[in-house]
Amino acid sequence: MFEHLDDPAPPQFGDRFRQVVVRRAHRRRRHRRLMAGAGVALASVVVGAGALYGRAAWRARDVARVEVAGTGEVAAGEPVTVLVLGTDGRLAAGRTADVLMLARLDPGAGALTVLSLPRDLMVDAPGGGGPVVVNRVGTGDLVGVIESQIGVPVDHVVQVDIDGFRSLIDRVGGVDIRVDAPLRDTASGLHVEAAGCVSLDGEDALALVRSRRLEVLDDSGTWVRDPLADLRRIENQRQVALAALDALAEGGTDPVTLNGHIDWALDHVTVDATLGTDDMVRLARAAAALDPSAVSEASLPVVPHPADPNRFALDTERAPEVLTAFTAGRALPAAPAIDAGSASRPLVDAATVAGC
Amino acid sequence: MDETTSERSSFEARFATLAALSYRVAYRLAGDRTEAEDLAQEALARAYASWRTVAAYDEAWVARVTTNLAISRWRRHRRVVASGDRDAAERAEAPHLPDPLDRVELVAALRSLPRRQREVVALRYLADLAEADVAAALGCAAGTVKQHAHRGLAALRRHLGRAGPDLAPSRAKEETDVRASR
Repeated sequence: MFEHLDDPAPPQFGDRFRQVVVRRAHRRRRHRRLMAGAGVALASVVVGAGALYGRAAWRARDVARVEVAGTGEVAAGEPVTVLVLGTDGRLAAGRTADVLMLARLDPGAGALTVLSLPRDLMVDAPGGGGPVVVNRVGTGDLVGVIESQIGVPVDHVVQVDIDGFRSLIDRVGGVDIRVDAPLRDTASGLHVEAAGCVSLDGEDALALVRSRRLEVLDDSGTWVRDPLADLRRIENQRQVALAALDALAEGGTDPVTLNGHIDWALDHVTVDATLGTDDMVRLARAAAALDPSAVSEASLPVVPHPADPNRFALDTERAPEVLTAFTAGRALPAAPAIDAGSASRPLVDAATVAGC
Repeated sequence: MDETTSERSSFEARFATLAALSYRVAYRLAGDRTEAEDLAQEALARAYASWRTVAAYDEAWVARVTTNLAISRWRRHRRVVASGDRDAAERAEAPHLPDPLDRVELVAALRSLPRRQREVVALRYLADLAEADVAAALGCAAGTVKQHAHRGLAALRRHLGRAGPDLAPSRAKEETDVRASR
């Protein structure tokens, strides 16, 4: 019925035609053999990946652990509150922390709440001593102090040393943040020349989170010392930590990456003795699956300490609202750490929060 | 997977028949000698590469593969036309110059058929195979072939008939639609 579409003079299918057919057929067979080879290779990769995952879980058991009073296991799927510490060296029962953050991860809701504590916060020394700066409290007692004096139940402790912080950021290819104005700190070696979205490598990020004499370039072109000092620092630490979390999540959890992270953790991370390998894997998975918009963060509201204006005390007026929200897993109210008027506005934001 | 001597001689023996069949199907769909030869070579190469499984129904197999190749190649050409690359569009149009609209509509109509109907129509009417051969190749009863052929032809006629009076505008519209949907 389609004869009207026929070629009136069809060609002869001679040697040239035939050669093309044979050549293409051979190429096809070769290709098929290659594909079969690729299939076998792929299968080995999958099996190898399984082995690597197994190895990752096995090796994660070797992460350094320390006994911390007050920590304990949490059932799978339940919200977990982790005290995150940054220290100059390895965590030991008596060592003090420079960075203190409380992170509440709710795997069911896919939500993360982060609350920074200033290291110059005054607390009562454990065992009935006088007032003491919180970072002088040994790690073994720290959870007890936070639970009884700040009123936040803590389940686990995770500590990262400062070298680990730097190498983690280099591992994930830098962190993306947004700065409100050019920043510098000649003491810590920080120099961010332009406002806007910037990517920091490990060294720069470290200079930012260590900066206690931050200077901000104001509109008239002069460098002005930021009045918030340590409160600014903990804010910046939190933003960099969140940006690092984003970068980590972006890197994925394929077995090679995962094993790299575990290598890193073996060198730089210490956890409390009740945090099991399964818990670590669960936390890592939940953190990797976080939606940046489901992150709520703030600093603990404080006031200058009556006895020493360079130290802080809990702001008994503003803190309860923040702490209640944190414990209940609600979004934290947007309250600055200290009521310092326009100087309280944030200078640094994690890029995903800022929408870079 | 390597070819054996008997495989080669068996393929050689069928070569002329299959080449002519494939070329006929290809030309009916593509309407261009170079294009039809290329399609036939590709279909025959695929048949030869899998000769052991193809040999039993070689004609039906080659006809079906040729039809599918022609349709998918046509789909690519159409995409080039729709993407607005004028030179490439002209190159793509060129093969259909003798009576392009008949063929474009035929391919479009074939594409619109359900797979089974399309296969039966292609084998029965493009490759001019006997009903029994088609049935054997597709592994179904002769009655089923008849039914699919009947329904397929009816659908084809409907499609071609409706598009008949103003082929060009309807094609132009289709291309605009494709562009709009990107």
